[in-house]
Amino acid sequence: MRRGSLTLALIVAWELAVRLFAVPDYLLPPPSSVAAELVAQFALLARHCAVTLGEIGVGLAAAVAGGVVLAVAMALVPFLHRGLYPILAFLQAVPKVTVAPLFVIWMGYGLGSKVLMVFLIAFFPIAVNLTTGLLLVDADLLRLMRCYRATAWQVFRTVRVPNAVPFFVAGLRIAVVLAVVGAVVAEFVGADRGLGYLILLCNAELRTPLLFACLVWLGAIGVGLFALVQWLERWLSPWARGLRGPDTFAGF
Amino acid sequence: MAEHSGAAWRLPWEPVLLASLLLAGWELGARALVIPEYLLPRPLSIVEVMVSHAGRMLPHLALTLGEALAGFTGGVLLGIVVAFGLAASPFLRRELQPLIVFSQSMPTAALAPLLVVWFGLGVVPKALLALLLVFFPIAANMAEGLTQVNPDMLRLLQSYRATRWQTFVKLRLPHAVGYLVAGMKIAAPLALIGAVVGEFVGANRGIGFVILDAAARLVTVEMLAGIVYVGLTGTALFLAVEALERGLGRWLVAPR
Repeated sequence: MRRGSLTLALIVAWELAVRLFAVPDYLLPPPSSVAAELVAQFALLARHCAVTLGEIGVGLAAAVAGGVVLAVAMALVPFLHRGLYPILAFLQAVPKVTVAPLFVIWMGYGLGSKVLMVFLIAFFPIAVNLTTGLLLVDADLLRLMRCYRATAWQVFRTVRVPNAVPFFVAGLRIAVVLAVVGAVVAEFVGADRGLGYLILLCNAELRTPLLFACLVWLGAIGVGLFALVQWLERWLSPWARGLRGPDTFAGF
Repeated sequence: MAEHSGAAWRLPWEPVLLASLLLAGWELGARALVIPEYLLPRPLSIVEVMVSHAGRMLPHLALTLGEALAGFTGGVLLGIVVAFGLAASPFLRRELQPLIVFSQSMPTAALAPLLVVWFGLGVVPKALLALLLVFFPIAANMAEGLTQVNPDMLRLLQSYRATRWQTFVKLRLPHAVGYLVAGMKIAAPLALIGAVVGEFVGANRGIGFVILDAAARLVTVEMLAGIVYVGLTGTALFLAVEALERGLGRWLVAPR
């Protein structure tokens, strides 16, 4: 049997079951009508997708920048590390999507509130993982560097940063998935465009086939971002292939 | 993370100090700059509202917690079952892996509106969303625990002619428990998130509804009070799983 046969079988079974039991479209559309909707509404979907993708892009970039700055600061200043790290770990367990309504009050229905949400949700795994990577260095390597009288900057550049790359990528992998969630939930709470908004709209109008089409696009965004991280990993750390960073728990 | 070297456990004063400084700065800054309460309420007034509105908010929180726990239980059971399937059958492993990866890179929370169409405004769609979020880390961790056993041990059991069942009970299952608990630690806050996001999309009860309702009325203090309640509950769930982990203690194999 070829790989993916089960997926194919599931899709065929879904199509047949919906037709056989005459399930109404608004409850569960068959894959064929989802596909038809994907083609017919391509322009609409692409327009809303571009909005969501923009929110994710800006928010993620900000989260990476903020996470890197904070992680480096925590790695360099022990007090900051001892003080902030437990707070960050605590905040990981707090459901951050609940703050989405507050962001809408602050920044309105536009881009800002979504970018802020994406930033907030993606920031934590990046900062926490990168800090761990910068600090969890082989003690022997540090001793070796001291023998060579390496400066703090040299130790940082040649030992800590390369050591942190796999951790950073692992954090990024968690962050990209969360970023999509953040953008969609923020759009649920208050928006006038974007895939999350379109989903709610379809829901209210019971246009379930289009809703499924939105889900397919969201899935494509997720898979695309995931693949991007994979590619980034090969580019950043070709030596660490197959090496998995530690997974910090994925707090939203 | 921290290196607990000595037996004497010392109160971590740094995070407490830093958190108090941040909160004090927030309180004083908000007072000094006269920031309106609907934009950013002060910490003290949030606490005040948490106390004065406890009678109204706690029943909603209890409902949300119930939804989260129901979803958590269902998700853990389903995850364990799927993990058994994945561990037992290479065919399932090969076929389900890409599906699971796809379903995980898709934001599961986006399914919330669909669940509302299917199951109405009641408790069921919230619990189901929690279940969906919980399911993956459990299944993934448990499957890893069942399969990534020490090959030497496996060979040892083989040389004793252990049956498949014996290998499963004596080696795989005990090994997987630690992984299961680690998955539960990830999943516990997710269950709460599932319940709250489900309530965001369509509900007339629950703490998610309270938060959204307060936001609609621009009563930001109430909203933040609700958020803090959710945060405390999430932390409590996490700590509960950690307590379970400590209780199981010596049977656990630490997941790598």
